[in-house]
Amino acid sequence: MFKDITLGQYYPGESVIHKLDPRTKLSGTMLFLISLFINDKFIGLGLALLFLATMVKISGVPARFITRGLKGIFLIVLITVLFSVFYVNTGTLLVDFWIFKIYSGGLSNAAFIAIRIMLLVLGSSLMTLTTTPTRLTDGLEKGLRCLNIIHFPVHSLAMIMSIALRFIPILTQEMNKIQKAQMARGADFEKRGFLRRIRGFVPLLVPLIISAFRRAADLAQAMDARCYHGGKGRTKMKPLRYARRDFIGYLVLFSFLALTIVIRIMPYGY
Amino acid sequence: MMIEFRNVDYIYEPETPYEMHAVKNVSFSIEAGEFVGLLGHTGSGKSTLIELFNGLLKPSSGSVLFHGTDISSKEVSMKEIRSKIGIVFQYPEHQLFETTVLRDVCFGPKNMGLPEEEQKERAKAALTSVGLDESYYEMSPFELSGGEKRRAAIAGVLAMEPEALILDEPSAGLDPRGRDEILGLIRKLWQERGLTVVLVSHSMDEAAKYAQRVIVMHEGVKTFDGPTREVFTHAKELSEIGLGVPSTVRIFSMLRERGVAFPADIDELSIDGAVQALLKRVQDKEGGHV
Ligand SMILES: Nc1ncnc2c1ncn2[C@@H]1O[C@H](COP(=O)(O)OP(=O)(O)OP(=O)(O)O)[C@@H](O)[C@H]1O
Ligand SMILES: [Mg+2]
Repeated sequence: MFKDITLGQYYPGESVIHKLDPRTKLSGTMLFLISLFINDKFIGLGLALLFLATMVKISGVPARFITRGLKGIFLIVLITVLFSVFYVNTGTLLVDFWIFKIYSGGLSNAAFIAIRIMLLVLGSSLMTLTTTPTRLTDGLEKGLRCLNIIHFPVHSLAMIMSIALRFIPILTQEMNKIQKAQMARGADFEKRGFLRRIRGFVPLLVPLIISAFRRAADLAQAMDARCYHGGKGRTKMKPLRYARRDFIGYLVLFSFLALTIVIRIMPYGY
Repeated sequence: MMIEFRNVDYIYEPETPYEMHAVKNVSFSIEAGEFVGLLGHTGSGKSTLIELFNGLLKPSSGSVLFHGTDISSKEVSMKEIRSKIGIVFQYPEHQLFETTVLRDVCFGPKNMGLPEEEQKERAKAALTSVGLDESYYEMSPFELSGGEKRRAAIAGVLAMEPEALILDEPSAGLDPRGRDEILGLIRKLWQERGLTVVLVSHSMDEAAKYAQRVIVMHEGVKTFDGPTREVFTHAKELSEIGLGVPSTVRIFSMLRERGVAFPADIDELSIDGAVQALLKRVQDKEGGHV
């Protein structure tokens, strides 16, 4: 049941995108998301789609892995689309049936928002699919180092995050195991009825929480035994360094952003 | 034929970079009342195989039959299959969740839809058969010792009164005494109730001591399947796939290598048999004087 969560699931590969510095990918994703909100024309979204498709192509990650994340937001997209179809009343009236009035403006608005949300998710999926969680948090830690000046605990946060990310697959596996053990005792996790369903999860959650605590205690002890004492004076085995491909990456990104802005301020077009 | 595997294949996460062909074209059948040892190196596919027994995993191809019917066919109720083929997973104590031991053991019978009285009756009988008396009924499962937790968890499966009991390394992580107790208990259930038992194990000694028949897995393929004694004559092949033979068998093969002759029909699998064969040999040599 947790198989659909693409977030934090790495797709191994050797492409340039995989090898990019995680900071480049983080800023790249941020810039991509920003560009989606700058856009107000379909050409702009087309450009973003083209850009993303090229990156996906280069990364070598099969399209169905990228699009898997879309399943989870289907409902959100549907609701947004319905709202804008029925509430936006600009453009020409297309359908007038009972209390429903659908305008052309509503339709194009709905399409625009749907594409935007989908691109948002696809863009972030590409980052998490091509970057291991460890490198991602490394990138975050180093990228946000400047916040140390205002005594923001960057290292601790990065550590917490990387531990949390590391534990997602472990706990998922653990949960699968417990689920199978309870199913072998006849448990049924597809019961009908909200309350019965919730109650049905108790045999799953209690052992899972206990095991999470056990693991946390073990980990704390292991870290202590290795003299972990926080970020101060701690060095990295593989320090992050920008390479030439990262500069090219930034160049491509900023050109993309500039183009997006140009499209935005163009007085015409859709 | 109670349980039958026909050309079963299982692939984890097919068509992804994590694809893993864990079980490859495995066929065998197990008769009612057999005690089968399932052996294999780490990652050889033993646990995958046992999850196929009661439909927790569906074969990627091939079929699993219970009393002659394919368990993945529509007429078969999964719930019924799961109550008839009881599986005790590795570290079963991690599945305990209820407030008291008795309630936890009732979980299986409850899911079978039995009336409350019968649930309790079965739970109590199961707890008795694993050697946990009344004083444990109202205890929290989390305050038991490791060995007691494991016995309570096994009772949780026995309470469904399965025809076959499949255990994934039930002795892992226990001290020698706890190990003997758990396995002794399983043997007792097998002898007294005619339960069919499949015991997954890493230990050749364990398999030699308890199983009548041994199935050996290697990288997802069934490599040996036969009477325990016969399988353990393949010492060389077994050590090539990261397994070995029971210590007693090893002693005899080393003695034979050094030119000490033993008759072929001695019982090499048990310590008792080994001692007797050695004693006889010593007596023969000294002309009757020990
Ligand atoms: N949920 C899963 N997803 C992907 N691969 C898996 C999964 N479970 C097991 N595998 C892989 O399938 C293979 C067989 O695993 P299995 O657990 O059946 O081995 P095993 O014989 O029980 O090993 P052990 O003696 O360590 O318990 C292993 O290579 C394992 O990595
Ligand atoms: Mg296993």
